[in-house]
Amino acid sequence: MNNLNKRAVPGNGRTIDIVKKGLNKRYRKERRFRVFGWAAVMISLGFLFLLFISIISNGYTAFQQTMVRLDVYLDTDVIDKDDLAGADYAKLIHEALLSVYPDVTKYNEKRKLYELVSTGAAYRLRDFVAKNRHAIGTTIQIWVPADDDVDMLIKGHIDRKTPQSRRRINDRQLAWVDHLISRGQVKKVFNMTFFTSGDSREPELAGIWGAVCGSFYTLIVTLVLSFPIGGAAAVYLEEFAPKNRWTDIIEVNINNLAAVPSIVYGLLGLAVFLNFFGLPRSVPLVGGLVLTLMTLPTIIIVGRSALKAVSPSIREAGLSIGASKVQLVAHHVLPQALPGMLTGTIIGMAQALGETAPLLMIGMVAFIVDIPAGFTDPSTVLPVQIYLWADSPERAFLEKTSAAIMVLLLFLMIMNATAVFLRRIFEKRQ
Amino acid sequence: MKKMIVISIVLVYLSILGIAQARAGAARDYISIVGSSTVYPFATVVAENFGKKTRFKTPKIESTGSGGGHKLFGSGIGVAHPDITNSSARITKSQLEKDFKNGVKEVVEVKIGYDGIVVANSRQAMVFRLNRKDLFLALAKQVPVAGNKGALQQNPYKTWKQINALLPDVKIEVFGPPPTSGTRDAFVEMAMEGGANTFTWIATLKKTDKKRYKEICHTIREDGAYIEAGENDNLIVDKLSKSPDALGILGFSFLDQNTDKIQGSFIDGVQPTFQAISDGFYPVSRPLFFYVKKAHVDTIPGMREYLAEFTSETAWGDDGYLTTKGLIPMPEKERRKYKKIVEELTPLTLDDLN
Amino acid sequence: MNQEQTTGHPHIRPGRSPLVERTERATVGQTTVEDPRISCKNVAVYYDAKKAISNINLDIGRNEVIAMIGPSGCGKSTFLRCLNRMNDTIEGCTVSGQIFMDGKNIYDSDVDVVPLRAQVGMVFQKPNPFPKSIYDNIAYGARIHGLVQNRDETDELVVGSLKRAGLWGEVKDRLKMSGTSLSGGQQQRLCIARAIAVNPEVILMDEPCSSLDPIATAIIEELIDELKQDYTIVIVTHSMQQASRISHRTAYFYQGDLVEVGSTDQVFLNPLHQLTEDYITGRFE
Repeated sequence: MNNLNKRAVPGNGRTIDIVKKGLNKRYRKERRFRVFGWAAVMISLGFLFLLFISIISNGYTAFQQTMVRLDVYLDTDVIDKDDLAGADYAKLIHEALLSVYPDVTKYNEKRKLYELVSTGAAYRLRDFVAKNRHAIGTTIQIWVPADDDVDMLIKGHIDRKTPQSRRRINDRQLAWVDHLISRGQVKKVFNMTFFTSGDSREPELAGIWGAVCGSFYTLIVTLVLSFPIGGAAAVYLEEFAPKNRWTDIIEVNINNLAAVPSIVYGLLGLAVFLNFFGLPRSVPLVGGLVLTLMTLPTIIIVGRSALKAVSPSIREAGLSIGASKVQLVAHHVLPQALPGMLTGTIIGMAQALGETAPLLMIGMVAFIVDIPAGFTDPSTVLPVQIYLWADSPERAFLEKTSAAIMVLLLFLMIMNATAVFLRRIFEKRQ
Repeated sequence: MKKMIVISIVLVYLSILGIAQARAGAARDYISIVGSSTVYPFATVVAENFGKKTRFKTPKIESTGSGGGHKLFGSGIGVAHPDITNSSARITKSQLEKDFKNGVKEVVEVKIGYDGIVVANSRQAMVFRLNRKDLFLALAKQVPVAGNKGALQQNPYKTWKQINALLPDVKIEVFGPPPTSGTRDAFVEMAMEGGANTFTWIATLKKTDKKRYKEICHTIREDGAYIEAGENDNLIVDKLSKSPDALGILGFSFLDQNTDKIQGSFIDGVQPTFQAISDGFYPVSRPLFFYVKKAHVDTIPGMREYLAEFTSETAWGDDGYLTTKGLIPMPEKERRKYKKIVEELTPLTLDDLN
Repeated sequence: MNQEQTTGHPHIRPGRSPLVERTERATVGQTTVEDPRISCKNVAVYYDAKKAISNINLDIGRNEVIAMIGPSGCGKSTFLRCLNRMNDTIEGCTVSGQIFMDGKNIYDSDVDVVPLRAQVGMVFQKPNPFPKSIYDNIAYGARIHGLVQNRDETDELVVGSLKRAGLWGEVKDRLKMSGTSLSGGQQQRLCIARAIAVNPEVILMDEPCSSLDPIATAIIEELIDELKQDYTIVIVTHSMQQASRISHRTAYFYQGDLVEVGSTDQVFLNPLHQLTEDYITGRFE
């Protein structure tokens, strides 16, 4: 019985005193840990903030576009009513500009004058005439996009103070622009073109709609293929496959595949889908197939861990009532694992949305103007569009690049929010 | 749940059907173009204008690099293969022979103009007056030892003044493209080889020991004086405007678009301007080409019209829209020659490449 | 002071035969019954190479409540899970011996576990309702086995099962609510209702009250008392009081052996085995 009174702790003093003495040190440690954690979060948030700041400050101007109003005389000598498409609309635009500045006569000066408005102005005029045939022979007012250099000037990206030789807009042009502004013939409008048109080499005519459509078709193919295949593979491996060396090998390989650089999938896609199956280049179908290969490992791994996380007591409940294995999985395990699997799929999709490297190999890194209308139309995707614009020499593409990044980020945010939302819904249902 | 499974199975089925359909109806109604990233900015503008002016679809243009483009182009006849490849270098005899072997019997060569490679620096600094020898000595990994014919040493030069007393006393720091870039290839071939050839013993190596010659001329120093700035020339422009002492190697069109920030250095006494490159005075410039598969001209809709658009004066002429994108036009006589080739679709023969 | 107990026979009471020694592990007591519902012969379970239980011979009679008691890890739950082959789902678990139901060994290779488990229901230690509505929880088993053909039959079954489980009054207004939203005791009764909805012949209960408070426990015990009219109930419990309150017979497990079986009164009042007595008198170490 004496043993019980002996201290289990060596040394003297009451436990409470010893604990109190060490308390400060303990709290200091905890505080230090908290500070580290806080600092880590702040640093990453800071970088994120910087990223957003730089992208937004570079790109917000892209959502506006400078337009120039021209009074165009739809000359019947130029427009043949029976052949609207064949008319020289550029000539009409040029004449409209010359009518404002009749003193411009030298060839080089004329060219500089014409450069104030976009080459796309002629096509705008063509479309206008096609819709308003009755206007032929009259003078109309039409707003056409300004040239990208003028646009940059209006938006303040070109410094008026630099000497003329170092400016893309010369003094004469500057005077014209100022004059047009004073006459109210220049205005900034919301840049609809950016959201409705395909790629262009003229920054003022370039838009992301083509790339958005391409991304959409590509991701549809990816989703439709990777979710059922990945889900089925995860269910089979987790629930039905015997545990032996073969399934071990498969598991290890799936984990390895998840870490393979994405360009490798592009090479695989080139070899299999293009060269072997003879599918066309640059189409969302093939892009989707390649991205399916890329996202499958992620979906399978996430799906398996979601299945693993289903509580064994639910399995026992199902089995004990006499459910067969398939019934158990279909009725109880899958509904429980579905939110996790969906989250995995959406994360995989978001990954696929941001991918360019594998698409390079199958020809989706390309200049494509027409908006794709289906799975087998040549198309490109959003990140590729960003890459192509970032690589273009024209200054005005800088803001387009940032604006496109904003759109891409927006889509990523929407997708991730969807993942969170879906998980909430499923969790509530249970 | 059941519904979802059924729907996804149906969708998978449909997409498989779609694949089958895509294979069956493989006729292509748009022009497929591949090739050089240098020609890409010009070809895209032509394609876009062509697409807007005509009822045809806008051609699809992939920037695969000259070599990669030619490989795709020359792999066979049929809709699966591209119709046109752009190239920043003339086709080689062996490439053409390979094309012939793969059934691509008739290839039409079209020269479209010139591209200059410029060595530029910030507007805030003095204009550099370089010659190609200076560039070679500044950038090669190994340079000849002065007064000792045939001997090489690790590049010892740290400042421009050490190379040429007329140059300023600033550190050698050059931003340039990585080895995968076509611009780098062209720079190495035209500037570095040109500079190396000023040493007669190296120039003779070209005939006697081509491998060693290439090793001397094409190997760029790796001690930090040459900084690979990525494929994106915009990045180089950006870096130059921030570090006034540095030089950068980039395509002429990027200089043309950024004259407010950077200026082109004189090379062998010539500054890179439109006129100088077009007239052939500027030494670091190269012709640009595209190659057309004649067999596709009548099977792919719009081929003739595209070729006509590219070779029209409004496109590649002295005042054509390609010049605003930085293409340096050919002299009028040459333009007429190639226009005729396009109209008659005269195929290239092996003898033409000698 | 323990010396005496392990060597001598201190518990020889007047008029009684001496207790069986601790080292003796063969089952003592009445293992067989007339016309058994379930009859186990030489049942042994191994987890990989580790023995869990061995040499179990036990008959379970019709409409009786038999309680399995014993210290933790003695193998009573393992034995219980043999009776509906729930051990099959555990990796590395092997079962030998025979368990006869209706004259058929349920471990024969041609036996399908699905009908077996429809016949032998189970209630677990921790209430585990499906994350579905109360209604679907009850209806599920009957639906998959095809016991109900239409909505009316299903409604009837759900109401009947909930009434039998004594849960009807508490949940009749919220059948659409999730089963997991109920309290612990209600959940456990829901699980019992779910088990009886399939109309099994045997119900296995694995410590059904261990996670419940005394009031909920009392309700469940009452329920078991009612159910024994129609079902054979095998219950594993840690509580000897519970065993003595609800069971007809009691089986005492110790270290993987079935040490003693007998009527509950006999086991608790006049145990035949020294180990049993150690346990019921609390001298178990």
